[in-house]
Amino acid sequence: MFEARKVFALLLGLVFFSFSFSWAGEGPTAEQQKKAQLFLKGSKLWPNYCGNCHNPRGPSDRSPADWDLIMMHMRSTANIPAADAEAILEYLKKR
Amino acid sequence: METAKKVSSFIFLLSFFLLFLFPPPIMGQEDIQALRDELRKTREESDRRIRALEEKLGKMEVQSAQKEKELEEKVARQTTSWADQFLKTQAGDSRFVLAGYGFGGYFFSGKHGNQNEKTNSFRAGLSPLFLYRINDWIYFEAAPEFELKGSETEVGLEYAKANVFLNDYMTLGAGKYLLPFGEFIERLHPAFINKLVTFPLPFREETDEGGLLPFGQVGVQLRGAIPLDSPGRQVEYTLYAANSPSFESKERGAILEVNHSESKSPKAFGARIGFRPFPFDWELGRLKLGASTYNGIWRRGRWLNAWGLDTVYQKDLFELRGEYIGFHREMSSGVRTDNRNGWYLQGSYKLSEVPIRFIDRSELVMRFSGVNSPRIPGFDDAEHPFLKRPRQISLGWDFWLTPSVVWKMEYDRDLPRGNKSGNQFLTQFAVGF
Ligand code: HEC
Repeated sequence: MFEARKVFALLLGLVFFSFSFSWAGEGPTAEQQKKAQLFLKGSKLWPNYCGNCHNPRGPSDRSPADWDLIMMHMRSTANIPAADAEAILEYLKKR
Repeated sequence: METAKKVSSFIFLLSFFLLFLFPPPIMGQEDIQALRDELRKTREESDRRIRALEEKLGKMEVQSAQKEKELEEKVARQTTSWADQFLKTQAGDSRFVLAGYGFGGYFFSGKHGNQNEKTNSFRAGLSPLFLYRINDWIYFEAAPEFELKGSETEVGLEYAKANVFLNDYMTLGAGKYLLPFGEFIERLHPAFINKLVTFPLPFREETDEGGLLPFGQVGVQLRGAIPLDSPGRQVEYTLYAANSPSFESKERGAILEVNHSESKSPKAFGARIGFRPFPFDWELGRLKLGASTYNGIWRRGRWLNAWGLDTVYQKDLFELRGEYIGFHREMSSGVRTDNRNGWYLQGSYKLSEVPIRFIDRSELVMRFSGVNSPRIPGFDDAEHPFLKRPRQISLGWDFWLTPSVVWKMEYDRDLPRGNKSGNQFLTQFAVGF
């Protein structure tokens, strides 16, 4: 049992490491990485902000270009912190 | 052969014996704990290393991406036409979006006080919203409104404001805007947002229906949000200066009007501060608290001071809102202060979890609202049951076709106060587009 755990931990570590190296190989650019992080952040913030006043409006509601402008309107109307608005916009534009 | 068998059985016996003498340690609770700790430590260690590696990698990639971008720009500068260049500097990425909302509804009211006639009427409105952005830090919003009441069509300008994002914490706005007092006027009154057909009594847009504050203001505002330690915990603010308030007459209880025409410097100002005390991952829900003021000189050094509180609590499909307005108008010497106040409390619940078709698109709403204000001179109380100390309970059933298309039904009952008691039934179809 005790050996099995150690082996397991070792394997886990190996998997993680190989992952990080394979990333380095084909890796997405820093820009893409930043966007992916923004998207993730936005997807978590979206239901918390966008359902405050009206029913939440989802990504497919509008075209990406429209979201640019509507998020400006919502950021000012709802006083949404700039960084959060940016993340939500990234989420809404990737439908 | 024989010896081999002997040796093997000897070894077998020996090992058996040894096992008997020195049994392998049976792991106790502490040992397991220690192992777990060790495992966690190794995991943490490897996680830390991975993170360090990733960081390094990220930095390297950023550097190469920057180089790439510089190169691209260099090439672009040499190859784009003068026309591209011109458009880039002059027009930026300006865009236009048409949004807004429309509604149509019917209301039927029972007897009101000594009115013997039952009345019913049709109301419809259209409030398109034009959004136009010049670049990613300046945009305009303009919302004209057309409303059909009985046989008359009213045309108005709900708002028309230019907005400049000065930085992450400050947005400057100028033009005609909705009064940022509480949440109902600025954020909740559009027909596709408001869960009931009617507005809460103290927030009636027609101030002769009991509303305490005007919706529109002309002036400037500065607004923004400041995030605190964890996502969801934050402070938001809106500061504004506007034209001075004006009243229909000098009497107590007189109706407050929107003042568009005054050309002198602004004589009203106010603020709303909103606060979210809990982070978004607080498992008990989301809570927002707000406090507002509106202060102005309404006539020769006499002040109107209004203050308000608003709150909203949301947990999954449930929402509870409440707002309060206190209103104090200084009168000429010898006349009592014109004090008014109003409030509402509204609860709603979406039936999305009921596994029955159509029912799962419904939302139930209940609102209680009231106003206290001095008798308005020249008005017959019985004919205008809303004018003095109305209390109203409203029950609503909303059917959401999409998140912004709703069919609402509402039943209102004026609670007996004095000798009047009225009922009305309303229905409305509203579309946000
Ligand atoms: C503080 C309240 C509030 C919050 C929070 C809010 N909205 Fe809105 N939203 C409004 C109001 C008010 C309108 C109606 C504007 C009008 O028509 O005058 C609106 C309208 C809209 C519209 C219709 C198009 C338009 O611009 O009128 C969309 C789409 C929308 N909101 C999306 C969002 C998204 C996405 C979020 C989350 C970032 C969000 N809203 C958060 C108040 C809010």
